[in-house]
Amino acid sequence: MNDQTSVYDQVVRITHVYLGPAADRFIARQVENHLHKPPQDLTKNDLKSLIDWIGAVVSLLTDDAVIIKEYLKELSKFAESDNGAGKL
Amino acid sequence: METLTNKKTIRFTVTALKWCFTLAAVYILLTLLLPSNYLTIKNYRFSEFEYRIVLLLIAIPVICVWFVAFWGYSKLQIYSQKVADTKEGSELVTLTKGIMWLAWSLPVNAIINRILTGIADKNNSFHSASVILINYLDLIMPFIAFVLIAIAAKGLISIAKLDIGLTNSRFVMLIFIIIGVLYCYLTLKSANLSSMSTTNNHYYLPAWLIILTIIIPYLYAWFLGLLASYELIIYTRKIEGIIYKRALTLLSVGLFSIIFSFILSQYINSIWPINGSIIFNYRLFLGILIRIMGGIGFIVLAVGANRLKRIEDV
Repeated sequence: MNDQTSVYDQVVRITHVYLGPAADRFIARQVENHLHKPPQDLTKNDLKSLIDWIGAVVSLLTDDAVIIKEYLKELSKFAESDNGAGKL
Repeated sequence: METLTNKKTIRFTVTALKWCFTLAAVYILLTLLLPSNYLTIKNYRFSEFEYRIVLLLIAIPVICVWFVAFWGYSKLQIYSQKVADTKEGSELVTLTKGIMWLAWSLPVNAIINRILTGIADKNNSFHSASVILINYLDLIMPFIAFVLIAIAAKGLISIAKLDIGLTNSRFVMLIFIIIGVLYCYLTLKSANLSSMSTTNNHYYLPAWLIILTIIIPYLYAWFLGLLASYELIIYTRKIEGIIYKRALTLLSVGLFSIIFSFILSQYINSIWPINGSIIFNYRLFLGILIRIMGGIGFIVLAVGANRLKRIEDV
């Protein structure tokens, strides 16, 4: 498994807490539709833009601001961490 | 592509509602055209016109529930088609088929019921045959539905690698035993058990045939229905995903309400088989109330399915 895939996998892992079995498909869609690249090519450099998109999209799914904030915080924490490829 | 998808999803709902409209029209026509029930007219001193109006008034809430049921299953159908290629997709497609059978059973059973009672009203010798046929009819379609729903629930549980555990399901078993024993008591109370071959009872069937073809299949269907509801509730509780879980909870609560309303309705109808005439008592009111409860279940299920679909859309 390469580093790029692991960024995608870790984003899916975080998302799984909120979107369960739909997490994988959800992230793949966001990467393809908004970043216009295959999910496996996701790098840490893409995360800021991806998090912005996810914030906008998840607010369409729930009105629960606490959950949205918590989810985005988890993603941001991962984006700012040192593990994975394409460090910010 | 998105527009095409939207068109396709709208088509599911429109097709389901068109079918429901057709069946409702057939039912109303039959209500207006079939021979009237002599006993009802005599007991309540109705004129022919008043009798038809009363039948239509009773049919209004029932037909509304049909529309809600068809709309509800079409929403689940849209969602299951959307996720058909995923890991749990085939189980959701099977679940949709089960719900579809339940929704279709409402108008189909009512129409056949109306035809059979209409014939029995005209030809008294057909009365016992109509009671027997209606009893079996009330069983068959929901039975198929419960089998499909049970297969889907079992599949979802095994995909998620969840262990229900015998200890947890004891409560379901206890409820089922109480329901089952009470059902056997109430059903066999009307049967003449001194002779196994006599048909002098509500069902116009010998006791052995009541046990083999009514009691056992009904109990088995209810067991499957209750177990499937329980398994889906467990699946919802244990699955990960805060936002996903909220939508799935609505779906499983709706499903539970639908299954429970069908079981309750079958329970009452099979304990006291309908003889064709209308009696304005608590049973008629209870029957409509149970159908409305099922209708609410279909609405909740549709809202849940819509929310799940939205997760797949954005």
